[in-house]
Amino acid sequence: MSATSSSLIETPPRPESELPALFAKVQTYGMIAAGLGLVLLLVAGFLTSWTEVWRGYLIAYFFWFGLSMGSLGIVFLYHLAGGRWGFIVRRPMEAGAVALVAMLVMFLPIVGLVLTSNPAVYVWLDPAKIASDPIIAAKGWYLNPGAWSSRALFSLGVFIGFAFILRQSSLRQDSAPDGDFSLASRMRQLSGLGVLFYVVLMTMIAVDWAMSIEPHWFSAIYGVLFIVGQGLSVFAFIIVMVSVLVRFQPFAAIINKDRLDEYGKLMLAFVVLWAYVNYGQYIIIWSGNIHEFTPWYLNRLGEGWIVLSVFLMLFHFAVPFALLLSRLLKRNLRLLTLVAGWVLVVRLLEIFWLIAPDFVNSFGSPLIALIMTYIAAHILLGGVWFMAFGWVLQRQPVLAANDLRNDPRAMKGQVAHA
Amino acid sequence: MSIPIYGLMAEFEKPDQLIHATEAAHAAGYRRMDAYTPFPIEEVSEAMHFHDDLVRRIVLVAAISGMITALTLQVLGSAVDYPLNIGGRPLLSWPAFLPITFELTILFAGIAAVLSVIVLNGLPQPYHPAFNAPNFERASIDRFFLCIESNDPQFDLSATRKFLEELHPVQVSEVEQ
Repeated sequence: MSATSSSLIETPPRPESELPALFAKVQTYGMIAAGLGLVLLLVAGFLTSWTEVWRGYLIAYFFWFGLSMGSLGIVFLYHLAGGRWGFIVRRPMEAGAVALVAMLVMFLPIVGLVLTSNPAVYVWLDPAKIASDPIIAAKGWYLNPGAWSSRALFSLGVFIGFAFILRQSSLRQDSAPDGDFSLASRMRQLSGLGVLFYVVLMTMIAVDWAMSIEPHWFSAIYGVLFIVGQGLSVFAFIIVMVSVLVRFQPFAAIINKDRLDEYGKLMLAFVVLWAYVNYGQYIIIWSGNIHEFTPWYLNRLGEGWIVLSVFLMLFHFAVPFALLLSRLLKRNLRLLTLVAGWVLVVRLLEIFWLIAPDFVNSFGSPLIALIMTYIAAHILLGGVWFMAFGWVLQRQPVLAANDLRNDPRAMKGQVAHA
Repeated sequence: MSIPIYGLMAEFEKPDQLIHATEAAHAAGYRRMDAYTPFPIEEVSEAMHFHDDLVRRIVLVAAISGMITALTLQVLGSAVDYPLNIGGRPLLSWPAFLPITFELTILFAGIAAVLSVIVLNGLPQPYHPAFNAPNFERASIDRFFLCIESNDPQFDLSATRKFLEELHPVQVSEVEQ
């Protein structure tokens, strides 16, 4: 490396041998948070109602499930497109994808809720509603406990399968002979298929788990809103994670301003994409002005929700967009980490905005109770997620070996060009 | 010697050598220099401390002008000069203005980017002295060139040649103006 591309950190990097202790700490803190979150959720349940617990839990679930899905998406993307930015985060992203197993476990309570036909979250489970509402009754062939649960478990199973096979192949590649690209090309083919499954099944999941909360309303781009949100969350997460990893070897040697710039650009792309898909849905419903579609936005433009809607326009899109345009900011570890941290915060608000107004305005949730359970569920689910993430990270090398096409360490003595 | 010298051109085999040479030249105090490579090497511009971001600033100004133009045009057209009731919507229906605003922002920025790159690079330029250097056609194939120009205050034909030769180039040649 040239002398001008200086290190991103002032202090000398800590040795690689300290990384397992860091990951163990992530796991321990995750476990503590999970326990705390569970207690808080139970307290919230006794204070408010179990209906609110289920609702808050489902909304928070979308964020942590989405972080795992985003990680899986990055793994797919990496095998398809390569790149040194992906090489650096490849192992953490594989771990995030495998954390889907923990997310599957955390989803089982919701499957149980649906299988017992408890209408706390989904009104289409309520026999009285089915009897009185011909639209819900007509959708019964699709929205019924058996079909819903099989679709959910099937999708989660497919994603977990991809996550596991790709992680196993990736670990096997570490000890593959030099110049053997057979595993790399196998993972590439698998990832091509994976992207297809990702988009189709994630759209189905968005329809099943979130859109069906208000079973009268539908939108074709709805699944994409979730996919793009997952992409944005995961890039913000990557930047925050990289700001920690860069303090340790071997990351300190391979993360430089160019890599940081790339993560910043990718996050900027998703900030723009988020605005694009949300505006796309809005302008179509706004121009159509048809009663079938408008209630979703009327919910979000009245009764205080308009404040959050405008807030998201400004602070989920406009401000991060304007800041991330700056090359100086994208190459400054501290500032970029601050923006990424902010994006993660607004992501939590955005997912709440995406789902909660339907509960509050259509099904009479008290807002304050929903916010309480939402926060408690985040502590629980976030704890579980980090517990799984830290557990997997301790059990694999921090960087992939034998990945000559993207490993900056394999390019010593040459300049890799764009 | 009556033919004026444009500069001294050093030819390197490897990009790393060029990066190293550029860093050394900058450290030695040379400022008026340029590098010629078959593909973009960001490290070289960094080594030259090349920080000209005029194109980016022009593009930003153009993008903002595009945005303002589009908004003004639509607000004047739909709400002020020709107020038509369309579907009972407010005259100032900003959601409908956004696609055009976006398009004009991109259009202005794109045109400004292309034009400013051409103009600021001094193109079209049918003659450039660098092409007088022997073997220079390989700058677009497999060789890496560094030219220290004679208008650099530190430029001295024999001293600069000696400096460049210490960097182990394939050859150093005088480039005629």
